[in-house]
This record gives sequence, C-alpha cells and structure tokens, in this order.
Amino acid sequence: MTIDYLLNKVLNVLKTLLLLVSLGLTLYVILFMYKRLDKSLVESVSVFLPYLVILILFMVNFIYRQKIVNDNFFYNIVCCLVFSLFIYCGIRAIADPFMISGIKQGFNINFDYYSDMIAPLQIMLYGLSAANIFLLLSKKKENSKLSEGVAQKIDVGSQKN
Amino acid sequence: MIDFLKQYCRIIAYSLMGLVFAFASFFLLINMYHQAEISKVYTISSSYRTSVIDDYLTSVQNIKDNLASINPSDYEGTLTSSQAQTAYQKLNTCVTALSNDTISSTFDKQQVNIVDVYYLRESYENEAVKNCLGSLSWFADASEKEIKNTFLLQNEKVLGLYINELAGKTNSLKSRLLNNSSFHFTTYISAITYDEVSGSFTEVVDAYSDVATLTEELSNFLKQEMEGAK
Repeated sequence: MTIDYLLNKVLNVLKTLLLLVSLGLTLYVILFMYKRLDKSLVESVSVFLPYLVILILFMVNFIYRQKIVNDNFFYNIVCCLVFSLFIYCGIRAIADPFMISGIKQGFNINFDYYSDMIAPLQIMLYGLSAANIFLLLSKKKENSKLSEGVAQKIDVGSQKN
Repeated sequence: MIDFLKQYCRIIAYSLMGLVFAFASFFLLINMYHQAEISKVYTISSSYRTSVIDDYLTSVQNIKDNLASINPSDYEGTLTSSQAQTAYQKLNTCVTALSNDTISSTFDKQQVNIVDVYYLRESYENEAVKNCLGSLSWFADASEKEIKNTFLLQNEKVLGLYINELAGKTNSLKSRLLNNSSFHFTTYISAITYDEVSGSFTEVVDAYSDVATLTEELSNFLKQEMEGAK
C-alpha cells in the first residue's frame, strides 16, 4: 500500500462526504428561500439537477469500481475543493454577521449572497460531471492490454523456437 | 482511431478539471478576501473624537442650554405666541432626536464595524431626517406659514435647500451598505484607496454634525429673538 493509494482512498471518501454535506446545506438554504418567495419547490429542480447528476456518477464510479476516476488524484482534489467552497458559501450565507442585506431581511440566511453564488456553483458541478464522463470515455480496456501482453510473450516465445 | 479519440477525451477531461480548479480557487480566495474585508473594524482615533465627536456633543449641549434659557410663554415679538411655542417644540424634538440611543452607544465604543455604521445610518434616517429635519422644515416655510420674522423670511430658501441636502446626504451610502454582500463591495477600483468602514462612519457622523450645527444656529436665533423681544 503506497501513500498515493491511501491518499486517493481518503480523498475519495472525503469528496463523497463533502458532497453530501454541501447538498444538505444547499437544500436547507433553497428550502427557506423558496418558502420565503412562496415558490413551488418543483421550480428548484434546476438547482438540484447538477447535484443529482454528479451523485449518480459517483454511485456508478463506486459500484463499478472505476479506478480511472476513483484513483485520479487531481479529480479528487478538485472535487474536494469545489464541495468545500459550497460548504463555505453555505456557512457564510447562514452565519456571516457582517453582511447587511442578511440583517436587513431579518431572516437567518442571506439569500442575496447565496443566490449570487448559485450559478457559479452549478457551473462547477456540471464541469465536474462532464470531466467524470470524459474520464470514463478515455478509459482503455484492461483486457485488451492483458491480451496484448500475452500475445507479445507468445510472439517472443515462437520466435525463440 | 478509437485510441486517438480516447486521448482527446482525456485531454478534455483534464482541461475541464483545470478550469473548475481555477474557478473554484478564484471563488474561494475572493470569498475569503471579501469576508476579511467586511469584518474590518475602525478604531475611533482620539484626534477624531476630540475634533468631530466632541464638537457634535458640544453642539447638542448648546442647543439644550439655549432651549433651557428661553421661555416661549414670556415672549412678545415678531412671532405670534403660538409660532414661538411651535418653534420651541420643533427644536426640542430635534434635540431629542440628535441625542438618540444609537448615536450615544456608538460614540461610547472604541471600535466600530460595518454593522454599527449601518445602524448609525439607519438612526440618521429615522431620527435626524424624519424627526429633526422634518421639524426644522417648519422654519423653512416662513412665508407659507405667514411668519413675519425677517431672519426666517430672508433665509427660508437657503434653509429649505440645505435641509433637503442633509436629508439625502446618506442615501448613496445606504445602497452601498446594503450591497456589501456582493463581491464588488471589495473589488471596485475606489476600494483600493477607500476604507469602507471608516469612510462610511465619518460620512454618517459628518451628516449628524451638520444637522446639529444647523439646529444650533436655529436655537441661537430663537434664543436671540426671545431674549431681544422680552
């Protein structure tokens, strides 16, 4: 077991945990925001759609043990960075005491700030989903590699004979 | 051919990851900078306290002294007794508004943050503008109210203009403060040379001082008018 392997495993677990926490925070803020605006929650589908896409992709990566994604250090790092950013923004929207519009509105959440952040957050989620899909598409078949290796050995063996 | 396409997919995947990484890093850094910027505090310097805040408090005290020294019921002059009584009451309302709780508690502090400035500006709008300047506008309508006092008749136009100017003096500050959750609060070009907390604080205190000075002038006028006509 190398350090790379351990680090990737830790980051892999961490990114899933961070995704769930950020999804929970977004759900909390959006629920209150739509309740305040008297809007139907069905209209918030566009906000949660990228979350759903990336969640499905993570589940596919996990179930089929796709190493090209799960063991990709850069992908894991970017995922952790993005989800940490989501959590940071969520916490700021709820707990930053210096944002005046939050005080003025009289709610516990600064909706002005969070609504400004929704679009960039969605772009990042779609970017991660697309990167995940392209990584899966770039995957080379392991069996073909194995068969190529075996074929080469047979070839070498036959030449010796 | 397929390998070639797969290599392209890999390049696109890494490019996307790079873009997302850059985007996320930018947002993280600007959020941290924004948080640090809006949580700044301004320490009220002793020189500012002696030059501006003490002047303001002295003006308010002078108004109180002027009002305490006059008795409108004894007055017989160019103003009618009801006009003298009204003028006295208007200045009394004004001095109460100028010594409100918010300004007293803010001046007691050694350090102020952006939220203190916001509440101070709100008190300016609710107390100084609505109660004080609203009362002082009575002096600016001398001809309309048939006040036959020469001083008020000669100065009513200037007085009206000045009261209007003071009433709208912190309007742009209000929109700036309400917008402080947006990033351009910190990234617009003048933010490099302008400290929002200290700048906003001095802007509101200056507006308060101007209102206090105007009220003091009017209280001086009323005092002279009543003392001279006794």
